[in-house]
Order: sequence, then structure tokens, then C-alpha cells
Amino acid sequence: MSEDKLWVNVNFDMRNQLKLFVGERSKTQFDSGCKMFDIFLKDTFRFDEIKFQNFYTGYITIKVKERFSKDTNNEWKLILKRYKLMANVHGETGANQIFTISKDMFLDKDVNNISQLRFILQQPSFYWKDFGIDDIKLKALNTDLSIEKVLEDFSKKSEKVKIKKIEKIPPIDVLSTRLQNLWILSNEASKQVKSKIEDNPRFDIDGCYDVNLLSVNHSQN
Amino acid sequence: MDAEAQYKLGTELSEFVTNSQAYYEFFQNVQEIVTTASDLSLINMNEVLMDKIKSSASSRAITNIIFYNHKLNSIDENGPVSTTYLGKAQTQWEKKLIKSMNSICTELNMPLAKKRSILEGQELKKIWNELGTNVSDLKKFRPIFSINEIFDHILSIKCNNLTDLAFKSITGLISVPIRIKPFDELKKQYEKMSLEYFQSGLDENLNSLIEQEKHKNGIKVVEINDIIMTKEFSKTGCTRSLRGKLWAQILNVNVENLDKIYYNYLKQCVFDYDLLIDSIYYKDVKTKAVNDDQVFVFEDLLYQVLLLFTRDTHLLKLYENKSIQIPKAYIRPKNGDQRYHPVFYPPNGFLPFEGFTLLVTPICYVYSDPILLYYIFRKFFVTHFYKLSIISSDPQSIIGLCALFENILQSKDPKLFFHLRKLDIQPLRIAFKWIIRAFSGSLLSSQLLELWDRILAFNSLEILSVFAAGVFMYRRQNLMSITNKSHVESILDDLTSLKVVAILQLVFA
Repeated sequence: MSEDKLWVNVNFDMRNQLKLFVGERSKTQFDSGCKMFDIFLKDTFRFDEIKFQNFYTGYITIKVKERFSKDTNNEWKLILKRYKLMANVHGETGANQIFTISKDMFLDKDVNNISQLRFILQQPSFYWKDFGIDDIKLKALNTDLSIEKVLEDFSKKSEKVKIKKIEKIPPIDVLSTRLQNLWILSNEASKQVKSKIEDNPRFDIDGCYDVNLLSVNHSQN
Repeated sequence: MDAEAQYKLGTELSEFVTNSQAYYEFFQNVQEIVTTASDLSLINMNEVLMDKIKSSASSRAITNIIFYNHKLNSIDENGPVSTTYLGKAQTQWEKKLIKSMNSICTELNMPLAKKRSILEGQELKKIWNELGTNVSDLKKFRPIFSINEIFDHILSIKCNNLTDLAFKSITGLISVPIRIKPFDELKKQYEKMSLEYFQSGLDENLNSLIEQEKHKNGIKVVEINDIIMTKEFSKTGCTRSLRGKLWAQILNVNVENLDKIYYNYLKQCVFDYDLLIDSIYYKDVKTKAVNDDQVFVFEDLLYQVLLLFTRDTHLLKLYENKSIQIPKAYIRPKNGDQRYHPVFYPPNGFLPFEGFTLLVTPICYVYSDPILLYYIFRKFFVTHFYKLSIISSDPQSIIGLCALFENILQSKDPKLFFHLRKLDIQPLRIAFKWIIRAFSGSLLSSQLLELWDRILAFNSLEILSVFAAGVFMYRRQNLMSITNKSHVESILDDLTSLKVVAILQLVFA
């Protein structure tokens, strides 16, 4: 299931993440612990998944507005309410995690033709200087891709993965001493077949492992 | 978990299962049932087969595999992202270790790895069961990093998104705002540690009848071989005679034929390649284990385990999907290829701390078969012990355990905590060396195994922090009477008289 086939990115415009205040007194010390921002969809007016990286946001609420609503008021529809992002708002867990909100998690699954999304972020803890969410991506399932085609691809793929039978190997101690070389051979041979052996790749290259110094600049590759 | 990850997990798991020997046996078992079952007909085939399969031992082996691997995969979903301060701290730490390793290597003017000649390999093969005699001068080797170094590094980590107010409210040494389980939650989770339950390692002296009963139940549990049941049983301690079997079941270690072959392959790797890190392990064994009258007999076994461990690339998988970088080196193969190729060093990607050997010694008490011993240790490491030297927001990692320790001690005995702080004593500084070695080397071996029983049964290292706090609480009277910083060492230096279970009960009471 490669991503570029099944999923398409949805383009959108985003407004700044603004802190909310009570009244107009933005200069006061009072911290509401609440932020809000909107997203406007540009060409595709549907999505099946929202992906983002958290930055110390405790809870998230998402509302959507539909484009051609029968309802004349065209009110906001709630699709996610106070969803917990951090296991404990005072703690680190989840604070920098990447989250995926899929359509199954929406409260109202029957939303179509969405023009606008409103995100409401909450962080009740006084621990953190700032909070928000970054790197937001909206993704939609590729409708051009029919289910038949997906299934076809899948079955083609699974045909390739042959099930490997494991034969019982009699008197193991005798065999194992002789099998040293075979092990290496079979290791080569089994590169196509995912197996237990392939999980443990060889550490040397063509019988060479003359290591002199470790590479300090190790963050690359 | 999103749909994609679920799909990936599903396919990986089914591939893993179909490649296991258990699956093969299961298949045979089904065939056997089909041919032998008398009440089987085409009409009821489905139900009858399903019924029989469900109750068969071979299908339980498969559920155990699935349970174990699924649980393993779901633990570290929220590892640190490399751009966060914790990820950066981990990277910094890795760089420090690499520098340390390189400086050892240049000081000694020795390569990190080289091929042994065939003769050397054969010599080594001959003395495989007495590797202790192989040791030359180890004076010049030093550990890659000491426990104090990692401790200081952990203390230096600061979260830059903390408000001043939050910063002031931190009373312990750990300033990473990691989520600590509230004590009530912990108590509930460790309910089986309460006084109401019969505990091996403590109560058998009081009531031999219950002990016999427990042993009888234990035999049944071993027979049934169901991970969840085994865990429940072991929460009140494994009886000594069954410990080996129970541990293997909880860790889901079955040494299959392929594993035996792989073990021998690793052995061959030892004969083929000489690694600098071997000498560091040798030295660690010599200084930590050989001097200890409880464990010196295991010297040769320890070398065997550790030498294979360094060469086992199985461990590399552990660091996938986490922001951990494995030390790399570039080599030019001898086949005429002029390019440099990256290789991992050591092959298992793990650089040990001073006293790492102590994490192996207790297992030597339980298993005498070197192959089983090796696989048990490896599983122990990949499920629990690797977390003791990585920097992560996972509450089970070393930072989380430290924070938990400070939190329990402060909340259970604030007077003691602040008394010590007033004398400029940091309880964590003392407890850290216990926790990072999982108390190995500090306790009496029988007591240590009781503690490790609980690590496995509750599937968590948290018990180490709980116990460390318990030790302070237990020695409270002595600690409260001290007026000088130097006395604290003498009170907490010798823990060999402690009863693990009693102290855990004290904390949870």
C-alpha cells in the first residue's frame, strides 16, 4: 500500500495560531491556555485523515464548515471534541508526537464538501511557555483508485511473497557444525524471502570488517 | 495507530508467525487432527476443527508469539522525535560515546576490529569453554562510559519550553517533565504485591503448605504455557525450581533449530573477528564479576554471552523507528572495490556502560545451558534493559525511572527526602547506580532474582524505582540520624541483608 497511490494531499491555506483572550485585554497576564486557527480548503473539499506533529498541546477540538449547506445558518459541525494528545498535560509523553486523526474517529462522519476547518487547541498546564501543532497535513483517499484495482495489486503482491516452509532438521548438533558455511550461503539466497535469517544481516562486507575509527559525523545517511 | 501502521503490523506479524517453527508444528498438528478425529465429517468440519485447534498446545504457542510481538511493537510508539530537546540530548550522548570509543582506540593504537588468522581462530575455538585463560594485560583498557557520566548527562538535560514557575516547582534533580504515574495508579497496578497475597521469597518460611500448593499450581501453569497466565502467576514470585521455565515462557523464548544454528554462526563470528570492544567486556567481567564471590564461577559463561552479544545484528532492529543512531564506520572491502562502505560498530550497535556485565550474571543462576542463557539474556535486553541507557520520553526509560524514584520518595517520605537534601545529599545520585544495573551486584543473588521475577511478571522496570525508594524508607531511622554527608554511604553501601519482597510491601502498604 504505497502512500502516493492511495492517498493524495489536500491543499489548504492556513491562518496563524492565535491565543484567545477574554474580552479585548490582550495585554493582561491572564493566560487562557487556548488557541484557535482556521484552515481553508482550496481545491479538494474532502479529506479522510489529518496528520500533524504536536508541540505541547494538551487537547484538540476540530470543527468543520460545509460549502453548500442546506442549513441556511451554515453552522459549525463538531468532528472532534477535546481529543487528548498528552497522556498528562504536565508531562512530556505525547508532547512531541506525530498524530494521525482518521475519519473513523470523527464524531460526525457524514460531513461533505468541507470548505473550512477550525482547530481549537487547549493546554491547561502552566508548565509550558508555548504550545501548538506543526506540520499539518490533510490527506484524502484517492477516489480514482477503485477497490478492484487495490485488491488486484494486493493479490499480485502477496503472490510474490512465498511462504517459506521450515523443514525439521534432524540431529542438530551434528548438522550445525557443518552448516556454518551453508548459513552464509542461505543468507545470500534468502534475501528475497523474508525470514528469520534475513532479520539478522551479516555485519561484514565480503568477509571484511577492518574497522579503524568510528565516524563522528554520524547523523547523515 | 493509523490504518497504515496497523496494516504493516498485521503483515509483519503474520509473516513472522508463518516463518516460525511453532507454525510448522501447528500445521502438522492440524493434519494429525484431521486424520485421527473420529467425529469429523465434511459438514461439521469447520466447527470440530476450530474446537480442537483452540484447545491444542500448538495453537497456544502461536497466540503466545502474537501476544508477545504485538505487545513489543506497541510499546515505543511515541519515542522522541529527533528534533526535540530529548532527541538532541540522545544525539549528543551518542556523539560523546563515539568520541570516547575513538580515543580509546587511538590511545591504544589498536584497530576497532580486525580479522583473526585461521590459526588464531582455531586456538580460540579450543579454549572456548575457558575463555578466562585467554586474557592478556587488561590494565590499559577502560570503560567506554562510566555510570556517573551518563548520570551527569541526564541531569544536564533541560526542557526549553518550561515556564519559570514550572521550573521552580521541580524539587528533585531530574528536570525533564516526564509523566509520572500517580502512586495510586501504581499501587493498583502492583496490587499483587500487597500483603494479602502469598509471596515467594518471603512467606514460604511461614507456611510450607501454601508453598507446596503454589508449587503445584506452578507446574500446571508451566504445562499450560499461556503467557498471560504465567505472568499472573509470577507476580507473586517464581518458585525456584520453576523459575527457568517461567522466565522463558514470559519472554517467549523457545530455542528452535534455527536458533541453534544462528548461535553457532555467532560463535564462528567470534573466531573470525577480533574486536576491540571484546577487551572492554573482558575487563568489565574481570573487575565486576570475578571479584565477586557470588558470581565468579560464571566467568567463562559471561564471556561467551557477551562476545556473541556484540556480534548479534538482531539487535539493530531495536533501534529502527527511533531517533537512535547506531555508531558507524567506513571500510574498504578487499575485493578491489575502491569505495568506502558503511558498517555498524559494534555489529549489535550497542556500546556498554561500566558494569554492564552485571545485567547478565543473575541469569547465569537460572540457566546452565549456554544457548538458552544467551537467548534469554538477549530477550531481556531487547524488552527491558536497552531502555536503561537511552534518553527518551518513555516513562520506562532511565529518565522516567529516575523521576519516578524521586517522586515516590518525596511523596511517601517527604521528611526524609528534605532531611537528606538539607545535608546536600541527592538520593538519586545514590539510587542511580542501583537502577541502571537493575540492582545486580548490590543484593544477595536469591533476592535479586525475586526482584527480576517482578520485572518480568509486571513487564516493567518501574519496580526498580519503587524498590530503590523502599530501600531509603527502610533505612529511614539511620538516615534521619545522620548529620554529615559522608555517613550516608556507609548506611546504603551494603544491601545484602535486605529482603526484596518485604521492602516492596512496605512501599505499597
